[in-house]
Amino acid sequence: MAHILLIDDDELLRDTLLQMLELDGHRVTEASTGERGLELFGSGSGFDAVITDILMPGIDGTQVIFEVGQRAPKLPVIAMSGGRRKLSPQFNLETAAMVGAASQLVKPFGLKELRAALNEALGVQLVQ
Amino acid sequence: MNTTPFLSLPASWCSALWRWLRQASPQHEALPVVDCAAVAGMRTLDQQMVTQLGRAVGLSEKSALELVSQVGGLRLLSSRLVDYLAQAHKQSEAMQDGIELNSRVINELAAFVQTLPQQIALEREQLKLLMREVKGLAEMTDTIRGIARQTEILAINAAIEAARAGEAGRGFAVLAGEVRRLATQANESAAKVNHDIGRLLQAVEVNYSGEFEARTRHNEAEAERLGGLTRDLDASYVDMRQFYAMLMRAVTQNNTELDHGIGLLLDTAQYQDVFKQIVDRVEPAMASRHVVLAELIARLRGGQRDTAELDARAAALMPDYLAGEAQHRDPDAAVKAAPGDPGLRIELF
Amino acid sequence: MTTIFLVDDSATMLMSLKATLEIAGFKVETAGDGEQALAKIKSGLKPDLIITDINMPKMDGIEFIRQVRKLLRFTPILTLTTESQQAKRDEAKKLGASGWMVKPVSGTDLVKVIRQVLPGA
Repeated sequence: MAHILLIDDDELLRDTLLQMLELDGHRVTEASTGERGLELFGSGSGFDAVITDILMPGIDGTQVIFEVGQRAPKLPVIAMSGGRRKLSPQFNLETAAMVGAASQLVKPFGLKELRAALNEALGVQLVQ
Repeated sequence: MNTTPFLSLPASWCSALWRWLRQASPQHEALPVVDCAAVAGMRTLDQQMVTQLGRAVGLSEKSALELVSQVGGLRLLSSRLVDYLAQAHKQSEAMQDGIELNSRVINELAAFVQTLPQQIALEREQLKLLMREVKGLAEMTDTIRGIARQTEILAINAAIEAARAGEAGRGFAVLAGEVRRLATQANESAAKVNHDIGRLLQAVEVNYSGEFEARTRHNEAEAERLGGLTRDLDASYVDMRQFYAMLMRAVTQNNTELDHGIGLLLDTAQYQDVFKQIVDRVEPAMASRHVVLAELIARLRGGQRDTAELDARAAALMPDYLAGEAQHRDPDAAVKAAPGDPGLRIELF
Repeated sequence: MTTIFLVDDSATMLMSLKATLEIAGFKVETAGDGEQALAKIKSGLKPDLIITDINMPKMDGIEFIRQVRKLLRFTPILTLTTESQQAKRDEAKKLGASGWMVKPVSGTDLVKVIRQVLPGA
């Protein structure tokens, strides 16, 4: 139903999310780095939403969110984070919200949370 | 504007009032003074209203200027925050450099400690070789003692033979006796050397015993622990750098939005000027009305009933006022030709 | 740094525009009427751009444009006014103004226009 750009360096998680999203009927384009993700995003035309991890090697998720916000201000971005050592997921997601993320997901999360975040971001009631 | 003669008032009064009215409205020196009490009363009210409006405009200007200056202060605060964070970032980089140095030292120390067991093992090998040689020496002294005993036995046997040989064997007996003495000395020396070697071996064994093994294992464990610490430190830097990058980005974004809001706030202050100009245009309109009114009263008081011309002028007052207002564009009539296009509000020649 | 000269009898206009333009990185000089403005130019002020009101006491904007053009032949002049009379607009254009702006003008639009009129500012 929606064309979603999925960015996460964790291959296993990305795979799982991709399957979850496709099962719900969405079209998913995936990237393992922020750089690649932004490359695929281009000007944003054709995409309905972006889901991105925060802590990644190379450019981090907050930079991705900021860039997407510059190129396509109305396009919703969902941020996800599990935290790492002293960087709590709460701080990471708070920062993501500050730079423009529409909704947030704390790892680990399940299908229910994913759907809720997508609903919030896209502003429509999707298939339950 | 027609000047109309004074009527029904003492000349002195009217000239006094005339002077007073000229003072009150400097732009309209030729305003007619007719039936001073009624019309003048209305005119006074007009003047007071205009004064009050002027006061209102003054207050609005004061508040707009206050707003502009406060807004400037807000902007300073937000840029101060960014500057502070930039400083803090530099500070953290300096700290990182210092700690990275410590980290390197710790790493070198850990590496060194890890080589200790090998060094010591090497020494132990050399020591083992030494001990083997020493043991070889001990074996040699045993051999000497063996030979000495054999020699002693031979010497005793030789002495016995010499005694049996009588006179002829006496020289031989002396020789045998010397040999025996040498053998005894050799034996004693060998015994002493053996004893010393024994003691030396014992001392060495004691020093390089099981305690040594334990110490080696302890050092290896320490090295591992130190190595682990430096890995943690490195990880903490990566986290700290990430933290700062995210902090800067969040604050910069926040300030950008703040600046945008501040800009919009500043824009609204301009409405005060538009407001002031609208109020400024009220006074001339009132003056125009006064003129028509004064002439009307004069005409009626003078007994003339035909007021058609004045009626027309009165009727024209409102449309004239609105026409004047129309010469100044309504600030809220914003018509944008396209998004981002300033439209009719801005025109470049 | 690019210098912009604001001429307006309203202190509010001068202060708010000054703040907006300084935030955008311009240097700003101001004058409360045409005479004051001409005096400043005669004593050496060389702005890169002039923004003037039309309805001002002592000397109106049109007269100011006429006078200032004798001193600065090529400096771009923009008007910022509530005035919408076509005649005044045409006269300003004839006297050498580069643009006509209606109050109130948004800071973003103003900066955009300035950058159009002064490329490289």
